[in-house]
Amino acid sequence: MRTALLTVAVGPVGAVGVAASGWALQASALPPPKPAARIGADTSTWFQNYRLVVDVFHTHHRTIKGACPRGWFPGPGGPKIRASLLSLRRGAVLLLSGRSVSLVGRRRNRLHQPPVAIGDADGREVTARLYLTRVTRTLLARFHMLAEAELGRTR
Amino acid sequence: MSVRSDTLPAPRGLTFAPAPRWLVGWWAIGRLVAIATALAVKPTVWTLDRWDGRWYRMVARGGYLLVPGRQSDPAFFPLYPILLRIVHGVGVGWGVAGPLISNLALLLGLGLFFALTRELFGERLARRSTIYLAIFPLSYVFSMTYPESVVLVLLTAAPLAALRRRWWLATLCGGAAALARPEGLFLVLPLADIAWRQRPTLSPRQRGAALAAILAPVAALMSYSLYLDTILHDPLAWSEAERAWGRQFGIGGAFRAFAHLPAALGHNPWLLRDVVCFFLYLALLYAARRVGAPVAWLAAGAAIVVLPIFTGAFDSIGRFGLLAPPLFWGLAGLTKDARSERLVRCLLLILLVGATASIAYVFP
Repeated sequence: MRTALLTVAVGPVGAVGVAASGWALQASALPPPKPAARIGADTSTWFQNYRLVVDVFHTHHRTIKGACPRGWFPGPGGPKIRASLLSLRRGAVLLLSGRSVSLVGRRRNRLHQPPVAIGDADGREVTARLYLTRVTRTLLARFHMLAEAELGRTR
Repeated sequence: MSVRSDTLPAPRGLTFAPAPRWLVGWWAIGRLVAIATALAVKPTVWTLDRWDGRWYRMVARGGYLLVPGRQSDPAFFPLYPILLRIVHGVGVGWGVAGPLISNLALLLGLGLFFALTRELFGERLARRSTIYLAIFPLSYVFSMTYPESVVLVLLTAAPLAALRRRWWLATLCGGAAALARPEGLFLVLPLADIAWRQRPTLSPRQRGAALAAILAPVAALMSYSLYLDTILHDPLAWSEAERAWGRQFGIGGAFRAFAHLPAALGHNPWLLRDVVCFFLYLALLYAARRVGAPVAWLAAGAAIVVLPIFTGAFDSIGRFGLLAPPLFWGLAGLTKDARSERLVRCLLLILLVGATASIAYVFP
């Protein structure tokens, strides 16, 4: 009984040792991704979402043009919140967070509210206001390449 | 012919005699043919450093970065980039580090493969299968910035250490193998088989170490997931990255691979190489069974060859097979007389030249 317990104890302890030393090896030997590369990758993903949002809405047999970018936005109470911003071509700019919807502004003759991208660089918040009404495939690819370019700068 | 893994030798270390001259000679011939052909295609070291080599170099230089929905580097396991980083740290250029590690590791890997095969089948089959591995057509990968050479070392060192009752060493090698390539996971099968056979003669502590060795590949894979969670906040980032290459494991994957094969071949005729390898490898597994390869090894070999098509594609199966020792035991079992052995050697060398020349057009 005692010998069986010893076997059962030593095996998992050894496996935990492998997992711990494997993690330590990777953490010590490989560099973490550079902040700029991470922001490039995040922005690429963000734009991927943005590019895919529908900018023509159909409701009650009417066609409404607008954009619905997702990301971190200044919330009604001040601090930034994860939300979707529904920006119509003429009229309201609505902030959708969870189940709550709030009116955050009105626009005239502006196609879309400029979306805001927020990244995190070594704990410092980096904000980019993007005055873009359209994200092209080329631009998306450029942001994607930013990550690789940052990694392979000295290649 | 029967296997000898149950008639265990007296406990001894993993030390083995210096590689025999014939082994060094065939290693040199294989590398000379592969490297000369690669340089003839394009006379620069970057020829051996392309395709996945670029990804491994990227990880070594800048760490991991996941770009969801895009091809990204967590698909490439960490041990080889760590080695690249270490070798680069002592002053070797990035372009040279990969081929240098791979070619030297292959010499060690062939030595260990020979020792393991000799332990299981005896000298003659061990010699033949080692030569075939050294000059196998897809073996040009062993000269590129790919982790296959390093995995070969670990994949043969772990069971060899286990056969010699060095279970903690087997644990280390098994864990390291799974940190280099996912094929390392299949070591669980032969290690469990060896542990089961040795069970009556092991002390309780040794049994515990054997259990640790069996669990080590899974534990190492978990450590990779933990690391990815630490830096990318996604423990399954490696699987997510694989998806961007069109690889997603599923029960229906094999059906998808066959159903889409005509279209895939139309898109990329080079895929025929991997399809041919797939069926050839199945035949070689059968041949390995006939020479008496242990069932656990056959199962591990079958997993290495067959499981990739459950991701929905045949791509790179030719390369994956390099890490399935039973294939080379099977090939050696088919060529028992000197004439057929010479014929196969010549054929393999010719095919090695052709396969290496394909570096310019298609990934291995």
